[in-house]
Order: sequence, then structure tokens, then C-alpha cells
Amino acid sequence: MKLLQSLYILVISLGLTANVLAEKIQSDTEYKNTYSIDQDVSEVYDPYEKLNRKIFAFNSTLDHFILRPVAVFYKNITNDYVKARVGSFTDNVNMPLTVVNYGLQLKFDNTMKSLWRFIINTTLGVGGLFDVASKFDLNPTRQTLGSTFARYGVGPGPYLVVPFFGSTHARDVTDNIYSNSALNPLKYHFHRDFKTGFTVTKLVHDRAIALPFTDHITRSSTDPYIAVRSAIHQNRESKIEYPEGYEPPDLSNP
Amino acid sequence: MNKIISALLMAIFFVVPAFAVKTDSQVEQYVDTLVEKVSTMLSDPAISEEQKVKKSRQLMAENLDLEWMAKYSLGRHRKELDMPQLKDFTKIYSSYVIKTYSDLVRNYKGQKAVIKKVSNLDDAEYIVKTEVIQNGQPSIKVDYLVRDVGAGKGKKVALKISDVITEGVSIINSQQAEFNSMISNGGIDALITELKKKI
Repeated sequence: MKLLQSLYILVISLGLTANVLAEKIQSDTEYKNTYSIDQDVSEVYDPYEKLNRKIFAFNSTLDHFILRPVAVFYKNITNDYVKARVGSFTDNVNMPLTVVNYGLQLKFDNTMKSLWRFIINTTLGVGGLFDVASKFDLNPTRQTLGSTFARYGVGPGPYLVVPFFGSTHARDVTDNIYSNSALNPLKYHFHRDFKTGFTVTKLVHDRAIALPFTDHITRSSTDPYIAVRSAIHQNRESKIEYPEGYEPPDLSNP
Repeated sequence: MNKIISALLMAIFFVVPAFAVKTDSQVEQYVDTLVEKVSTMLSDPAISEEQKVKKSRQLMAENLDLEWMAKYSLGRHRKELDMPQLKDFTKIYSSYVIKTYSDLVRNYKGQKAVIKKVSNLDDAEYIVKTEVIQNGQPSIKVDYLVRDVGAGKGKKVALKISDVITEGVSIINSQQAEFNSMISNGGIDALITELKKKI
């Protein structure tokens, strides 16, 4: 009897340690392979750098003379309260995109979470003006068609700078241009004028939010093209979930 | 007898993770104290903005592992430098980092940081995940790479921050990418001249 008891304890404690270990290993995968001083982190695959740099210069000029001044103006005339309402509203309108993409990824839990977020914020949050759902911990990572591709094992591909639309990867290239609105069921019910107004508002608002970051790059970077490329790549990859066992292609020897 | 065996087994299984937890909590405490110190300093209305920038410079010089960061940011080009060059670069790099990042203090608007999780990467490397909560805006994920500088040298635990990762974007990895392209195009001298311009 006592033997049985100690066996029981053994099994439980084994299970516990395994749990602890599993949790630890899981939490570390995000940063595995980074921070080895003798080895460069994998660089961004950028075979069209020459052309990209030209388009980057074009986009930067456009931004400098049109978008940035408008964003600065918007930032100055609005207070935190207004900015928070605009931010929540645009985010809520885009939430169905996340719902659809989690659905396409067959992730039931996250589909329901993002659907509930949309329902709660649309009703209790007065049409999405207030973010109530985050208080219930309903805050899933935003998904696009690019995220869905990644979920099925598609790597980022070459880095591309698209005129007017900005920097992205080949895998995500349709997101801003087409699929973000094509995969959002809500967008089919909007009047054309509302759609235009919404797009412009979101563009200006997002640009205003990014101001501290872009100003920091202009002030401190030795090469803004590389700084933006590196930041876009790292930020995007941190939000992407690859299937288990996915290995990024080796770029040192293409 | 069985009781003794099971007690021993219990001891082995539970004590081992407990050791790891001890250093984890040390790391957490370190970041917690530092965050607390910075936010009290920044939200003190009696201190002028210039004074805040000055104080944060001092805090950065004390808590950043600038020597290691300088080496890391050079990436594979580090081996092309001799000792005096490396020393020279580390000095300029340190003032560059302190100058450019202390200026960000001016953007502070009452944000608060909350520690979410501490995890262990390596024997002497930890990741501390925090979330910066700002008024009315979505919160920002900020992770700190904390390294025990004393480890391996037989010294006491000496924790220093070696990287800050904001929404997935790591400072030293971005610098490595930038410096790498700079050195490939114009050599280390071009990089040093460029950095000096920014100080």
C-alpha cells in the first residue's frame, strides 16, 4: 500500500516537473537562437535593395511633404481622449478581418475571442468608440492574410518597398493593398464615401502614433533605410506564428 | 523506508526548480526597482525636463551593459577590429546610445510599466517581459534582456540590461543590421564618423 502511495507521489511530482519544464521551454522559443555574440542574426532577405532604396526615397519624400505634416497637425489639434476614441474605432472596424483570418487558420479559440471582442466593443463600447473588451482580457493579436499564410508555413520572402504603400514582405504584400478590406465582411456594407473617410482617418491616425518612432529614426539612425527594414521585419516576425517545426530558410547561403 | 524514498524524490523534484526560481526573482526585483526608480523620477513635477534627461543618462550609464552591446552590435565585423579600435568604438558607441535614447525621455507622458513574466534563456541570461500601459492607447510590449555580468568570472551576481525589445524590435539587433551595412560600404571609420555626427 505504501509502495503504491510513494509511486503515486512520484508520478505526480514527475508530472509537475515536466509541466514546469514544458512551460519554461515554451516561453523561451521566442528568443531562441538570438543573442549569440559570435553569430549574426539572420539578416533580412532583400534581393531588390537597389530598387527598394529608390522607392523608399520616393515614399519618404511623399511622407515628408504630405502625410507627416497632416499627422502632426492631427496630433496637435486632438487630445488624448479623441485619439483614444479614433484608435478604438478604427481597430474595431478592422476586427472582423482578424476573426476571418483566425477562422481560416482553424484556430477556434482565437476566432471566438476576436469575435467576442468585436461584439462587446460594438455594443457595450458604443460602436467601437470604447475598448471595453480589453478589460476582459480579450485582446488577440491582429491577423491579416499574411499571418494566415505564415500559419501554413509560408516564410516572409523578399523584402519589398511598394510605392505609396510602404515597406512589407512578399508574403504580406496583398495585406494593405487588397486583402485587408476584401477579407473584412464589414467593408462590403459601407458607403463609398464612408470607406474613403475611414481609410484616410486610419492612415493619419496610424501615422501620428508612429511619429515618435520615425522621428527617433531620422534623428539617430546612420541609415534610415536599413533601420526601417530591420524594424519592420522584427516587428512583423514577432507577431507571426509559424506551424510547429518551421525553420526559417538559411539566407547566408542562398 | 518508502516514506524516506518518497520524501527524497519529492525533495529532488521540487528543489531543483526552486533554485532556478531564486535567480528569476532576483532578476525580477532588479528590473522592478529600476522601473520604479525611473517612473518616480519621470513623473516628479519638481524636476525639469533637462534635469530628467541628465538623470536618465546617468541611470543608463550605470545599468546598460554597454561594453557587451558594442561588441554585439558589430556582429561579424568585430573580429576585423584590433583592441585599441574596439576600445575606441565602445567609447563612441556608449555616448551614441546614451545620447539618442535619453532624448526619448521627452516623450514621457505618464506611462506605467508592469512586469508580466521572467524567463531564463541561458545560465546567465534572462528575459523580463513587461507591458507599458499608456493612457487611452493600446499597451506596448517591452522586453528586457538582463544578463548576469559577474557570471563565469567567479564574481557576485551583477545584473545589467543588455537589450530592450519593443514590440519585437530589438535595439542591438537593429544596430547590428545598420552598422553591418555601414561597415560593408565604408569600413569602420565611416561608421565612427557617422556615429560622432549623432552624438
